[in-house]
Amino acid sequence: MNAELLMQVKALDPAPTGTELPTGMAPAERVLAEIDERNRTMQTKERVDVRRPDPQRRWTPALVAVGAFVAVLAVGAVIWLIGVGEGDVADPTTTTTTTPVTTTTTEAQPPTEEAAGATPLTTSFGSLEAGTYRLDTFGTPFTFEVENSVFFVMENRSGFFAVAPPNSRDFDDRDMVIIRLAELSDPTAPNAQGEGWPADDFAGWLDNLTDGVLATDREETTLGGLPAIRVDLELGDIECLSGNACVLFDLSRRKSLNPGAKYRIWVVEQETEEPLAVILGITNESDLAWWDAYEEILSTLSFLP
Amino acid sequence: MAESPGSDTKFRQVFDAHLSSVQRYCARRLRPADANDAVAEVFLVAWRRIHRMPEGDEALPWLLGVARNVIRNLERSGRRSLRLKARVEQEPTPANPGPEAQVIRHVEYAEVAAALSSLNQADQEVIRLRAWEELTAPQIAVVLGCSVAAAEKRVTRASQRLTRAVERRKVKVRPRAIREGGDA
Repeated sequence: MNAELLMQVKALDPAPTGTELPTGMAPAERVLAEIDERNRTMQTKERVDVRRPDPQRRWTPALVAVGAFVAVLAVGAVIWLIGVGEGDVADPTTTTTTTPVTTTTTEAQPPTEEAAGATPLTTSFGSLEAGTYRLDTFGTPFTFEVENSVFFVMENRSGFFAVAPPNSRDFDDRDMVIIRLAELSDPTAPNAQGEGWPADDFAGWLDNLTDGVLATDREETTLGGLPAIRVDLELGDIECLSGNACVLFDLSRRKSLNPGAKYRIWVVEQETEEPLAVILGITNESDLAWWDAYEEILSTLSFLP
Repeated sequence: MAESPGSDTKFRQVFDAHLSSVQRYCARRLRPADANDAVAEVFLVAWRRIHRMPEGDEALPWLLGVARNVIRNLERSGRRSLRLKARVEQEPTPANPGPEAQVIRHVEYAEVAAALSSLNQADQEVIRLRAWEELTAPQIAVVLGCSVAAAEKRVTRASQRLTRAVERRKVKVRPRAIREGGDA
């Protein structure tokens, strides 16, 4: 800011340093008394909360007892039924088969030895079979699990990974792109070849985003156990940079955002590296189910040490 | 840790050193009743997190970061707007203009104020932190919870946008009027 303008803004200061505080501001003693009062109130409230279990907690022992009783009855009934069955139709030639029970979890899991031994994903164009994969092209490796063989690797190079259904026609057509960010685009003019924005300030990028890019459902969350910001983006009324790339999301990999497409983006903080961006793109509202499929994969994302 | 904030040595040192700055920060953004409420809340947070509060030069930006969150929470909860609404209903003619309005006595200041308020909230806050709280980029980074590089970038961008907004309003810089400034 130039010095003169800085001085003018300073002149607007309603409580300039070195002058008396504005009328109505409490003196130090009153502020201290107020803090003391609030502190005592909070302590009292905390003590009361500790002593008084909430209604849900009060029910817990009773529910546990009833649950245990029902479980004992159920186990007894099963044992009795098996006993009756064996007695009635005992046949040494009968073979029994057991159905494997599979459980799925949507919680991000910490790295395990098995995950660390996941298959390195080296294909840069080819189908992605069900399995656990490790990507080593992003610096810190990360793993993820694929349960359904409906995905196709579209690109896989240093700091850039894209996956989509095999019949995806182009970027944004039901794809998931993962990129290592180095620099975000200029949020005020992402449709121009301007200066970039620090990759580690996605919150600031969103705060400064031009009205031509619509951001909704912004949320602080975690991905792979690391802090992340998730947001949905789509373009509004904005002039495009060129026919192929309307707006640039980042300058590092030049991932573009285009009219008519909807994006769900996570920018994940990393411990020692620049953030990782995960970008889901669809061009039809009817393809929203693909986001669920990708989020299932993302729920298994795990960063290795 | 002492039972009462007033009798804890570390807390009293921080309180005595930075009360005025925190009061000014709040008074610049809120009316006195709300500002007093916010100041008490900031130091209550400081007291309850005394072991995590940074010491030395980093204490003030940390407190201002807390103040920023407290003010945002106040605004979010709508308490402030409800109070203002009630006040407006009781007093059809506002007797006491808001903090910035009290200062705007010169036309050129009004123009700069209008340019400033045309910026988004994030830019306005960065400009105020730089001009009113006189913070450096590393201190602004602590207040905003971002990296120093990001803070520098935000200051640069916000300043550029303010300059453009002022130019659009064709404000002429009048250093003489500013030097006389104050309550003139």
